[in-house]
Amino acid sequence: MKMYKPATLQETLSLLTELPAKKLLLAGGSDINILIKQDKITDENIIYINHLPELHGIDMCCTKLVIGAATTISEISHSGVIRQYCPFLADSLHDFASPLIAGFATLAGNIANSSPTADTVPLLLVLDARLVLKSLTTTRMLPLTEFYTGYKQTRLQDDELIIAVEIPLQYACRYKPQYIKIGSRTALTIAKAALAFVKYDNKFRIAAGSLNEYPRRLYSVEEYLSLHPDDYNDNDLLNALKKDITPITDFRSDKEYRLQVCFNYLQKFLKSTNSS
Amino acid sequence: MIIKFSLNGKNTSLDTDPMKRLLDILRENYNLLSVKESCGEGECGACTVLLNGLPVTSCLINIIQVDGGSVITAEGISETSLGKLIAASFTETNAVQCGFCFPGFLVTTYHYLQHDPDCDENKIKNALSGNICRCTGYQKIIEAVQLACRKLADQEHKHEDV
Repeated sequence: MKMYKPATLQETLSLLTELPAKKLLLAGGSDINILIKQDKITDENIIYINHLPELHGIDMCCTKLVIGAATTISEISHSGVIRQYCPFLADSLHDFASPLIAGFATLAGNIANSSPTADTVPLLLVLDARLVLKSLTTTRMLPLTEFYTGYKQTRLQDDELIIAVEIPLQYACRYKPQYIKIGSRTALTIAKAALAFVKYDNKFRIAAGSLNEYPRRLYSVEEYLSLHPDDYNDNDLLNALKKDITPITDFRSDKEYRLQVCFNYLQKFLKSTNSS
Repeated sequence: MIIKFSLNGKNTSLDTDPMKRLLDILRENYNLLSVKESCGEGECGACTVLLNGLPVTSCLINIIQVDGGSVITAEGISETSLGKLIAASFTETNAVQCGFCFPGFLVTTYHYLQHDPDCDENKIKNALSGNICRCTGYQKIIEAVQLACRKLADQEHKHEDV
């Protein structure tokens, strides 16, 4: 392991361009230190970025919230701006790890670690979040829906850094998303299944975690429900769900349970939305 | 890499591998043995310290993140009047059995009482949710925090009277 502490964002982007592969960015460290303990990190170049001011803070800019990449989970859940304009995100993040970890784990760290169970990703997917990706020569926006391409695979280029996450305010403000995380310990657990849901103008955004190789939108369910917002039937809904998720059996749970609990909460969210 | 930080109120610096865990530095370089390692993955809270005023699991913090910051361990807290009040409350409710988890609970409780000294059971449970105890079953720990909370309120009440 070789450690770099660049003085500025510009220097960080230069390092990302110059250093050969097997490089890791260190911000909060809550994931990296577990990989080190498991001997899964040995000869990587590690670039420390947590001290860069450009990566911190929460702003409201016109019609969107802009959250710096290294902003911590508890900074987000306690932020006055987030509580006012996106209470769903603030409340849902209480299910993210324990207070002892939420105080230093970062938002973009959770996204970039690319775990199938990443807690923040289903929330951000239903909020239609975008990532701001920067390299030495380019800055681009990428919808979070397009970020993951497979298990631990993303469209982040080797020389790019996530510098911010943007959330458009129309979903955060006007509609009331719902969220459930299923796990074995309330305070701190890796999710067996997670489901985030929002209905707007008879359309739906629904996203699941721990049910595929990466957290993703449930497009078949969304499409079916947009055609049958009030007259859906359970069989067709279940069939659509089965097209969208590929739950597995592992030491944490089994695939039958994961499918059932996801379906149950989907029905529950639909009923509560239709009755309100 | 040279790392400078404040430890229990005193400035210190050391030349070390910047990826070393804060937990190991505190135990090995500073002999602060209240900081315990159990799970080493952030699940149990036995290694909790205050980093820049926030309770964190020091097993998941690299020493580079501490550069320029401040660390307070259970040793530092136990010297304060609030720390003594918390320790006495844990003793009175018999909330400590083997003692392994207690430094972590002390740090988390200290932070809770400093910022939101509310006796509400759910708030206390949430604040302590990152600390695990395998002996007492938590009820006595919650009672201890509630007792500390009431003692603190009494103290403030007395100050107001004066």
